[in-house]
Amino acid sequence: MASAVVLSGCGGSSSNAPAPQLTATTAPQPVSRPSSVTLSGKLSFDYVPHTVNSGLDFANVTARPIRGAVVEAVNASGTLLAQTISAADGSYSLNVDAAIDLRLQVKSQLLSSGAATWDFRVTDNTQDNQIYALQGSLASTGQNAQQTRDLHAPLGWTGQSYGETRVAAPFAILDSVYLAATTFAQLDPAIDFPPLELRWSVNNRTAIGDLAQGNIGTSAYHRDEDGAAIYILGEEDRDTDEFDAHVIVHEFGHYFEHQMSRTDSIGGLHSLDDRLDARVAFSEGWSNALSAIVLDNPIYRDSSGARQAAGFSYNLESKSISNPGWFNEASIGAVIYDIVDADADGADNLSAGLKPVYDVMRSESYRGTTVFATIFALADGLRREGDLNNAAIDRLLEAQSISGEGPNGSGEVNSGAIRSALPVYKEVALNGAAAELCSVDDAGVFNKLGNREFIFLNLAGEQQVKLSLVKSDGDTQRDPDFKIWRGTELVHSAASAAQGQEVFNGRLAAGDYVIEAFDFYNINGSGSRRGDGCYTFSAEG
Amino acid sequence: MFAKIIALSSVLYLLAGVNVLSVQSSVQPAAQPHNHQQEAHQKEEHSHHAGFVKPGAGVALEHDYNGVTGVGHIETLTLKLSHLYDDGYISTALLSPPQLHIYSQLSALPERVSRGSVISLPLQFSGMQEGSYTIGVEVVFKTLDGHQSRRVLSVPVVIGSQTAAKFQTRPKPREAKRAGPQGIIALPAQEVIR
Repeated sequence: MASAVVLSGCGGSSSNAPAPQLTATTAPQPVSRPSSVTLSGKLSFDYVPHTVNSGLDFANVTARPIRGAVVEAVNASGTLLAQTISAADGSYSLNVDAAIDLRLQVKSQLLSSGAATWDFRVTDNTQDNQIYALQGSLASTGQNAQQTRDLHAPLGWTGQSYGETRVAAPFAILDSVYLAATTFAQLDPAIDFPPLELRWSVNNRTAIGDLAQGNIGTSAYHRDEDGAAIYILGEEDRDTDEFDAHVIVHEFGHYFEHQMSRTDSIGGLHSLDDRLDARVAFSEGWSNALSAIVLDNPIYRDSSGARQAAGFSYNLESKSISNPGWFNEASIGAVIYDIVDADADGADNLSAGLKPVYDVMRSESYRGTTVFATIFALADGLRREGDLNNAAIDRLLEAQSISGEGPNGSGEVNSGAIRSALPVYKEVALNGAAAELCSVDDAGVFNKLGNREFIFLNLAGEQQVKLSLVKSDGDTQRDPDFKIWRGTELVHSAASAAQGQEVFNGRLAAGDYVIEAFDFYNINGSGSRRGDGCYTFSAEG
Repeated sequence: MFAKIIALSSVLYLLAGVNVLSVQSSVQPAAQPHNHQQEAHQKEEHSHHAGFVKPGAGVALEHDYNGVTGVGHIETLTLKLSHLYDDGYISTALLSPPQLHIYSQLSALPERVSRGSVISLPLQFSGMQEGSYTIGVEVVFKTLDGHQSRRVLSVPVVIGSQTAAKFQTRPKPREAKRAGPQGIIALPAQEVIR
């Protein structure tokens, strides 16, 4: 679709317009011509709300301002002439030379170089991660002191399908990120966000494969290739997420915890009813809560399906949660949201805002603690540093059947019907009694409760140690493995194919360690040879 | 190829040529045949979805399709919905592009599944136009408590050669074009100048 150009008022002329025929009839009068022009206007995009069924509501599209985006004036060859950042109402203003041809463009980039700094870009992973730019026409700035150019990013919806270019999509994604970034900036005016790309394309499909080909599987935060990036679905009639603001902010939550706080989550498939690995449950619950907090809407919505007309929702204020506990993302989302939100309901009479949670998650003590980032670590930080009513925090936790104390959940009694899941952290002493643990698949595999067990080990000094994980119960195919963590550092991965036991022999520095022990066949994703096995873990030296 | 069937419920209608056949999806236990030697040398943990994925139905899609189908050739494959870890009801719908002729139709009726279930969905398709497509399955999962979630999962399908498919399907006609000199992807604005 070509740009729609409307010229009115004085001084403007399209570069494609025929040259005017002028006939001089009188001597020209001296006229004062400005050497520069103030170019200003409004920037907007089509925003699509959700229906009550969580599909996209194309009957109620509205224009929203493009906020905080990079606005540029460029000449015919693309050379930058002037640049600014759009205001919160989508307005902008640039000073440019008079009577020159230029094009106004708005990059899909949020940039802030004030007290709070950020650089967020929406790029296309199927086109070499290039950035999008909303472009106007090449037109003269005219001879007057003022010229107005308004740009609008249209949706591209033509009634039953996206019959035209989906121009609004990158700017809808940016808008969700803008809300998230400014929410944090209100808490911490000097916040410095690491750069982030949000990779969206109409080719980003629900098939799993090559990310550069668009086979992203689903919208997700990826932390390990080409730096971190959020990949966002754009597959029409299957799953598009550019207008699913909760999804965008959810993934932003993962970016935040990974790059600015701490996460020990292993990611992977998850649902609200799953009994999850404590690290995964916390990461997902935090991200769900953040989406509701940033958008000031506890109802998480995600559209999908033919004509984007279907979808599902979940209410973070719901008191009906299957399998509540420290291993359930819905429980953790409810606790965090209730700490923050202004409403009092059920066990919730806290309205602390996001600041205490933010402060704990950014604190050195939280980021550097020996144990993993779980709801126990956050709750412990809030109790110690949050200046909140601790009894009120406890009530919220108890309402979700969470009773463990300290950063390691000491004394927790909710096993999620998996007996070996308690205590949350086993302990072993050098040359002391072995810890007994199991790896089970009752709640699923890879990232579910019971797949992996955590063992705490302290070494008083650097020394040679032998760590042994030996099967005590289970079939002959059990393949125990373990990882040695020191804070967020993976010191060693003991993952031989030996059946029945795994051993590490080596020197370890003094300090606190967490051993993550598991059966390989319960975490390898395929589900084949999955099963239950129990083991003893010992440390000698 | 797959283990014994323990439950039969949702009905598919398989249209092969002019013949109308009735087939059934199957719900089966999660344990599958495996290759010990291969797995022993692939000590790599992974999930069906990499990264920190968005919430949705806890289900994964596996299939036995080799990735390329000749033009006009009728392809047979079996989709398997696995990694179901909650009791509840599942319903499925096929989402396919108009360029593919799908000979099967999934029942939208929910079927009861239990923890560890694997649902097999036999499918046939063909395509007359070279290109890269996907066959999608929209899964709606409802727990016994009534909580509903969704996830769309797809199989990438190539009709013709990989090279021809890539050439023909990308960029799509409606896709934004690169601007060139600035290395940006230009999106046309609706503009008012005054």
